[in-house]
Amino acid sequence: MPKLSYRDAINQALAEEMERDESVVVFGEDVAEYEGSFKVTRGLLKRFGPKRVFDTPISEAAIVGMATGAALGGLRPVPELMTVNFAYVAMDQILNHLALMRYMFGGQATLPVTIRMPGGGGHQLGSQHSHSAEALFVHTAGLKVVYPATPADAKALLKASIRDDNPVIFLEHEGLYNFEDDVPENVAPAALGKAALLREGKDVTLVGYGAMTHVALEAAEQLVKEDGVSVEVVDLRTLRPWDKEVVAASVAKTHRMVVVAESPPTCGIAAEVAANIYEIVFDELDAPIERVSSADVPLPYAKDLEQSCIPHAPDVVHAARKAMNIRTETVEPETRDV
Amino acid sequence: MEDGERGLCGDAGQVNKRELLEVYYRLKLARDFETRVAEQYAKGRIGGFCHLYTGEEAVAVGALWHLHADDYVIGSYRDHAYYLIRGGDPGRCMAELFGHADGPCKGRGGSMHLFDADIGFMGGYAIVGGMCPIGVGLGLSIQYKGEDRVVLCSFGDGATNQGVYHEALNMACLYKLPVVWVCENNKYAIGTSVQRSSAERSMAAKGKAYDMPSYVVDGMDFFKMQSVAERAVADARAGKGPSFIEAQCYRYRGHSMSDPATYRSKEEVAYWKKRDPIPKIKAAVRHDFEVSDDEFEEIDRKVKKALDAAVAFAEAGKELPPERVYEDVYVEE
Amino acid sequence: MYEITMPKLSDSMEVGKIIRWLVKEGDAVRAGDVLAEVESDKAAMELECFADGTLAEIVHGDGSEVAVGETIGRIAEEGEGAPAEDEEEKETQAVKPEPIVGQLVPEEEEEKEKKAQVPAPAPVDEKPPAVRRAGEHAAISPYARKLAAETGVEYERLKGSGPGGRIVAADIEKAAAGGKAPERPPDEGGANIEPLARSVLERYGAAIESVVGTGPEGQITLDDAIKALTGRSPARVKPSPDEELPPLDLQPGEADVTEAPFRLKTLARIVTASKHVIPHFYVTRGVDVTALLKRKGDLKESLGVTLTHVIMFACVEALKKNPGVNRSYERGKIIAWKNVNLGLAVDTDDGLTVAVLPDAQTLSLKDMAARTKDLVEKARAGKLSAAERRHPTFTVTNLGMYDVEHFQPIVNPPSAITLAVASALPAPIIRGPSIAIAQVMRLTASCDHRIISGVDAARFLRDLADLLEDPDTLAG
Repeated sequence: MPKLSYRDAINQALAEEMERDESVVVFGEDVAEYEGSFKVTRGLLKRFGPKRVFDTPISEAAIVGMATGAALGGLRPVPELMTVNFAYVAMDQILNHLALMRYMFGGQATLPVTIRMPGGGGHQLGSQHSHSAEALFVHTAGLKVVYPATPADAKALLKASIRDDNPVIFLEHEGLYNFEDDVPENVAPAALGKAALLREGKDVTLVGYGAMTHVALEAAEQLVKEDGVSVEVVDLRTLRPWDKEVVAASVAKTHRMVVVAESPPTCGIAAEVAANIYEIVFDELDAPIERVSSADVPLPYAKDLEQSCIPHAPDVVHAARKAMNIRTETVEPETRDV
Repeated sequence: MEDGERGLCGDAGQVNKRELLEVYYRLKLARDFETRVAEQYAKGRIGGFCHLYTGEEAVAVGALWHLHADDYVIGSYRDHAYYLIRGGDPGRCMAELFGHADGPCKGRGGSMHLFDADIGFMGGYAIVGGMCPIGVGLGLSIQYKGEDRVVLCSFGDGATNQGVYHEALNMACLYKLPVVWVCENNKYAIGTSVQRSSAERSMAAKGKAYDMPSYVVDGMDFFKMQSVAERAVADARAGKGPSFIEAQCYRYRGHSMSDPATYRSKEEVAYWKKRDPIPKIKAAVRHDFEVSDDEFEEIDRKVKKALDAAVAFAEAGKELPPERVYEDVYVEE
Repeated sequence: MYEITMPKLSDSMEVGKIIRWLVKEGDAVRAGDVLAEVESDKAAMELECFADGTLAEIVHGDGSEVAVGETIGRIAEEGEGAPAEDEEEKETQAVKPEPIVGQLVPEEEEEKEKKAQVPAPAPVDEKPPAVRRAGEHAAISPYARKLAAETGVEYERLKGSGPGGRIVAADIEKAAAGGKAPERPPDEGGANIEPLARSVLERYGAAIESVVGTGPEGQITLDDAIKALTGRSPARVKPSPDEELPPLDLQPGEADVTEAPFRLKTLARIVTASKHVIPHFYVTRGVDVTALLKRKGDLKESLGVTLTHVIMFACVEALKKNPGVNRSYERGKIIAWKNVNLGLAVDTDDGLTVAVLPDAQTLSLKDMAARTKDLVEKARAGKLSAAERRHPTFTVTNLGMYDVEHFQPIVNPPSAITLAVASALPAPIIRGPSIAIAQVMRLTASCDHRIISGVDAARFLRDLADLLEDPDTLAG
């Protein structure tokens, strides 16, 4: 099977959907002539022309509003916000217009908008460039939120998001753009709202999304090797709606769960998953659900300091051992939960 | 009144009596509908925020006079008149205000969020200026598909200070989209006057800054309003890009039902009431045609009948039941 | 009739205050006129008129605080004749109960009803309830507890290996594998019963199973136990007056039973409560009205004044001299009325009603007579306005036309004194050294001893008697 990078997988998904449906248009800051600040939209202007792929001024609110209005007028816009951090400038248009217009207008408005946003920290970009805003979008009825972890998923889920008639926030992890993995020749759109079981096991369930799925997989390897336990790993893939069934079934089997999210713990995705799993499979839990999150601070610039704020595999291993009630002689990494 | 300013449908220079009476009907419908809304709000049948258009009718009637049925209109929360003039049914409108299921938005929108794509009314919006980029998007879709349509986007003087308004005007002019921007300059954003909030007092200048034709017009005069709108709409339709219309007008009532408008003097209100568009249209008809009081009164009766029926229709309805609260959050596959 | 209601002027408004009416009854009004200034929770606003016609009635006047939606006035629309008022509506309005202590009674009645409606105890669950020992609480994970139930492992005495001694699945699995036959914990009597109730029943030898529990989930409460033992509910709530009397046991055909009209029920409640709550005492004084009676004819002709009017007028004059009597006691507070609202008991076809002359202290004798005539007519027609039913600060009840010698009325709250006027009857009196026959009218003041003392009543009656015994000065 050919290997494809996360970036190229997204690029291909965009091209294939634009080829298939003339109403798909792409716009944003530097997406056309510059080919995107992360080069995700490389080649699209050349292939589809300036009517369908165009640059906008630095006007995030208007970019989103224009996408909303264009959708009302029958187009299927896929705007890009340069990073998730700049989405904050457009929050009113996203949360207070796009998300609720269908409902507010009694079902009369159909808004098939997919907003692509790169995010994720850990590259010394400073506090204003290192947000994880997924919790804000997941909290808002009317939006769907997707966050792929692998190139194959990035392609399949972006195609599905574009074809979905609802507003979709499509989050991409900047640190994964270069990550290469197997992607089949023909990728069909994947169903939104379905998690993936990446690894089967019976002693503990590790749940992640985006870059943290890889952290969970790494932790699973370590646990199996060092503790001889059997570890299950679930990749959420879609955050709203998220796959309660798969996660609950997994916890019903293993009785212990660790959720890892690269975002502060307060009111985050891990809290949402934990609260629901407590409700659904309370009697199956042998230990409280562990959350491994970023430090509840704006991310600092200094290299090591920043890294100490973000979850890594040893943090997940430590949490999993706590859930499994495994004591080790080694010094435990400092806990950082608030 | 100069002939050149009339410019209504029909032969150039020819003024059509039937059309003038139609103008009178639309102005009266908008005026009296809002009075009924005030009455129903005071009775507690309408809740939340309710913003009335009383006094500004000539702006909506004039701006919309030259639009085609499939053009788009998008505006603010002061939207009842736009909905009606666009062809919306007064009964359904009142039902929406009552929160009943037979309103166009099934009672989920209310006064500020009327919407009916069938008549090209793409929404009332509560966030000041928030509708502007959406208007841009509608313009983008028209240009992209090569359609023979325009967008009329209306907002108040307060919106011209909002960031996203500037973003939207810039993009519309940059891409030469078919959007006509109508600024209803009624001098106040709730209780803050233009003098106290806008460094640039001329709204038209704030349109001109984006390099498009900008007009200042007496929004209390239907003839002047429709004349300017005709030009702007024709330019947009011809692919010449956006225009900006500053309609100077006045709302007789407060910003909303709970605003006693103590920030305006009674003299100021009286001054603007003297420029009321409804007596002006009547005078115009009388000036040029044989018309009896009966003909106006017949229209008055027609309006009253329609509004009586509208209130009755709204009263007879009821809200969506709680079981249906989750509908229409998403398009279900 | 177009009802003008207190408008909802903001989405949070529930009560509005009428600052002042800008039109008066009888004025012509048109749609768009400003009728009044009204204060919402946010600001003072103008009340817009939506109908053309005449302002027929102002129901709530300046300064009134009225709930949103309540009628504050009425407009007779053009084309409408004289207002044809809804009789029933007027009646319900007429008997709006005054906010007095009597209202304790209906609330308590409601509470009793609520208690009687406690649902039957829930059906007994099939699973045996989890046994809980007082004080001890085994920390155990939910899954481990489930495993324990499935395998029958008794975990209370297990030492958990989880954090803080929590029992985890591994502990249960180990214990289950250990082969010990688990023992069922001893049955502590699974009945759902309050400990105190249990001990009471045990002491008196009553079987728990025979007692119906009315507590949460059918728990047997102490009250249930007492009721089972004594056959009576424990007296916790003050019984409402009706309940103290044994109910009538009627034979068929013995009597016609109809539902008492709302007005009468209200009256019954009020007078019962008044008698129940207010400590009554009575002071009687004979007044020589011989001179007054002589003037009866000319007073009627010249001023249209009757004896009752003179007595009412004299009461007001006496109240001016005894302001302490124009007060009320209410829940620990002294209500010192700024005006004299003179209540007059009126007999109507629908029963007794008290019509009130507001601000009686401003009226001349002639005016008082005219207004009282009008008031009585209105009372009989059931058309008293709100102000004419509200807060009598002093009440007069006159049975003089029936040859009654003496009677002691029930105090009519909020009046602290209710004055009974009996008939003027000939009686011997001592004048100087001789006995003469005078017309003596006995006045009895029924007093609320919480605020009126014997001396207060006596002084008032003395001043009243002095006025009545000098009709020339009184009536001029």
